[in-house]
Amino acid sequence: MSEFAARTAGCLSRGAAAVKAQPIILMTGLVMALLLQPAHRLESQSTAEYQVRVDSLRVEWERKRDAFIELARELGPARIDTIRTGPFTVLVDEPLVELMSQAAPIAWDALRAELHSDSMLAAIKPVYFPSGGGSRTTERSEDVFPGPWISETANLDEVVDRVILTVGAELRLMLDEPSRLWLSANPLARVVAERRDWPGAASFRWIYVELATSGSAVGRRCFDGHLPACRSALELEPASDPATEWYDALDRRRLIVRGGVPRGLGTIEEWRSCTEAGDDIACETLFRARLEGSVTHPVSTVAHQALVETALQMGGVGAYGRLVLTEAPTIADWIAAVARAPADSVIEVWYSDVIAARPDPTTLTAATGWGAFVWIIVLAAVATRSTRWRS
Amino acid sequence: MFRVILQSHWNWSKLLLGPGVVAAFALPILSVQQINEPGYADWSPWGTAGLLRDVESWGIWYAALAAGLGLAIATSAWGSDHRGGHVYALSLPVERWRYVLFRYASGAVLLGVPILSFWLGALLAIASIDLPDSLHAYPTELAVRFALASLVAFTVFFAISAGTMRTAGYILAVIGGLLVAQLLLATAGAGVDPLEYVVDRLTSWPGPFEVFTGRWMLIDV
Amino acid sequence: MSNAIETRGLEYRIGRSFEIRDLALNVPEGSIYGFLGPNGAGKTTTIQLLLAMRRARAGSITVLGKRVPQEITAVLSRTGYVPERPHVDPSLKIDEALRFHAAFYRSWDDKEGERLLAQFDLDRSRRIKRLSKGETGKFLMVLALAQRPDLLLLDEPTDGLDPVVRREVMTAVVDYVSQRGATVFISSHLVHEVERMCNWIGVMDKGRLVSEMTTDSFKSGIKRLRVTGAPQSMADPPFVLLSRQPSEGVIEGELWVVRGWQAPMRDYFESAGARLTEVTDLDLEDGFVELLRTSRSRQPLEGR
Repeated sequence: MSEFAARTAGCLSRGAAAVKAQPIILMTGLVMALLLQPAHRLESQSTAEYQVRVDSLRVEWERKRDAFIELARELGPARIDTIRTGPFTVLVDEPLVELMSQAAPIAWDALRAELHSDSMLAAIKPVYFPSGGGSRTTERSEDVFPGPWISETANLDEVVDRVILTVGAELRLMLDEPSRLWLSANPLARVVAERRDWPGAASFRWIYVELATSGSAVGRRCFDGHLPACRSALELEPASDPATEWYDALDRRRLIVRGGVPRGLGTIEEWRSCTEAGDDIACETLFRARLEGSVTHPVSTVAHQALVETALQMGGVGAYGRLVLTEAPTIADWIAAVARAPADSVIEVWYSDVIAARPDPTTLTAATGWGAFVWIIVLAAVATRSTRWRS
Repeated sequence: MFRVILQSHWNWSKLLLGPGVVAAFALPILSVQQINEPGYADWSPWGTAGLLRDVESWGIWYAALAAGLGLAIATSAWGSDHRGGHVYALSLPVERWRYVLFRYASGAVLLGVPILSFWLGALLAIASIDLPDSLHAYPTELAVRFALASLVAFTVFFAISAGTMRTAGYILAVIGGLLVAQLLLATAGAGVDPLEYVVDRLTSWPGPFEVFTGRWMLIDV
Repeated sequence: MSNAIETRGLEYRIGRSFEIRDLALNVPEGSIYGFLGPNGAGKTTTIQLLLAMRRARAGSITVLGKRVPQEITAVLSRTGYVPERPHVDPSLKIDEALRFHAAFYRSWDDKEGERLLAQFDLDRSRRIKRLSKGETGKFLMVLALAQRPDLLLLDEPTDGLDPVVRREVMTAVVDYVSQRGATVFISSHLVHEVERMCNWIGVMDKGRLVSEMTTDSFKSGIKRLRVTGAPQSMADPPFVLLSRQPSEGVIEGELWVVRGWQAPMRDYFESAGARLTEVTDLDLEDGFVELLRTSRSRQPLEGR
């Protein structure tokens, strides 16, 4: 009896392994089981009728089998699967399926709480995730973007850290090319339930240092509290003459000196005249030539991003949706729409945050001071315990 | 007792202490000297950022001076005793740990002179320049850091000097062992750098030499 | 009579080549104790053990009634120490060194220091490194004596000094002892010097205390005997036989070195069928040499 049970178990396990390796076997078997259900009614019919019935079932089975095979082929490699959450449709590699299945609803809830816009929700498109992580569009839908997408799974378990924790949303690029560059290649896209990814204070510290040591006159005036200068430094409107609006004569000369001998952007004589003789006109000429090639912006994109984040916080509920959907003629208008406040108000709040984020002096931190003090005490005690000086 | 020990220590250290005091006073002043030079604002291509970089570049000299002073005062603390093999000190009717503390305290007192000199130099340096509004001066913080660094160096070398030759041998053996291990691992291509690890532990918090590393900024934002 | 210095079962070792074993010193209070021994015997090491400059492996040390090293500070405050080599910072002037030393001793006597400086004709303003060997020796004695100690530990204090300086230094020590009744423990390999001033003698050789007795006992009892016809073994001699060897030269017989000899002991030889032909007194140095030779050849010895 026990031998029979063991053999049966062995057969079953071998069968299960075979089925697992070849799912089509199971599918075929199930289909057949389903199709063959009415077979018990054959008992009451004649042989001819049975034959017709069997032929009909066989044809039906072959048709469904072919349809299944076609479907599997259309789906691509067997390891890709589909997850649907609300209007979200996500194609995911098999290794990520389980994780993404749990993550998608959480991510969707977070996005929905943030966006508050039906049109935005309706714009969601499926995204394909290769097993190596990251994301890219499917081969069939090149223009999945613009639209929100899950960049990574949401936090599933507060107790066990599973890493990969943000829900992202790509910015809809409602702006023209220069405006996109204003915000830089890194989209302001990390919309997390707790805005976990926003660097926050660290960025404002960085901006403080940038303004305090600014190489542009407009940046320095902004640091001194001149808010129109901040507006100009943040380039909320295009500058009519960056060379003179942003920089003074000394700044221009510095930048020319720093840039070294020009290559095709002026003559050596002009350069020497600017750098050695301090000729402002020569410096300005060279500077304008340089500006045509590449603009030296008064502040970095970190400052721009911080301004957008300030606007988002001021804008409250639905601010992110306005961020993504608003079409505005200037960045100032865009910021104002997001914040539901004048751009100057946003700048004022931004400036306050920058000044408040002045970094702590690095000359002597409390940790360094106390650490050194403790070591002095410990090492002095060690000296008194030297074998020579121990009684 | 302490007075005579201090007197003895002074005798042994005055030739080194003199230049140390001068250097401590001069360094902060030298570090900002160029700011007051005519045309600095004009020719410096980096503006305020460049000023901060110039100030930061002097940090290595502060750390080196602190270490050098610590070493000089520590070796001179035991100079007179080393000459006689410590026999005289061991024959004196004072608890040995107290004698060591007296020696240590005399060194700390003598170190106070260049530290004070440094602080005065830093104050004078700041008073002599015109800082942009966006920058701030930290002469006292810098002097405190200099004091702590000097005392850490002094204490380390003092402890080594107070030890026996055997102790010094152990320390040298450890350092030698690290170097040998470094060489062997590098030869074997193991990709492990024990020396770097040890140095990193010592020079980053909470290591003893962390006070020497980082930014020694007399002027900062 | 109590002991100013007492050790029991003292053991110390340096590496594998030298060790002090089972050292039992007894230095009576008020005595001038001469600690004799050849170079490398362990005299300086013993003194350093007494001053807790080295740590014994086993045994006990008591100095001036205090345990060493547990109460060493109290011991040092009453002990004047003159080491084998100068131990004071040579860069100091005499004046500075005196002030440094005085700061540590409550018993320091400025006037006595002045007097001794004058007696030794030392100039206060001179640096120690500029002093001659003799002047340095005298200066170290000033340091030791001016602090008015109860115990003087002198480690070969006159080594390398000319006879005049030697006499000056030792006279000062004797004067001090006669005034204060202090105990002096002086180590030396100069037997005649020890013979002149010490009333107790301890002999050390290769880390062991070979003998310890009064100087008189040491000097008076050691004789060299010329014996003829003595049998190979002679039972129960009334004296301590230190050595016995054939006589060299044309004269027959054996030369015996004995301790504790008295004239009536002639009968011992006659009763054994031997003949005693000559009895010669040995001085301290000869006795010292014989004692060492005996101990190195592992002849039986006794203490006091």
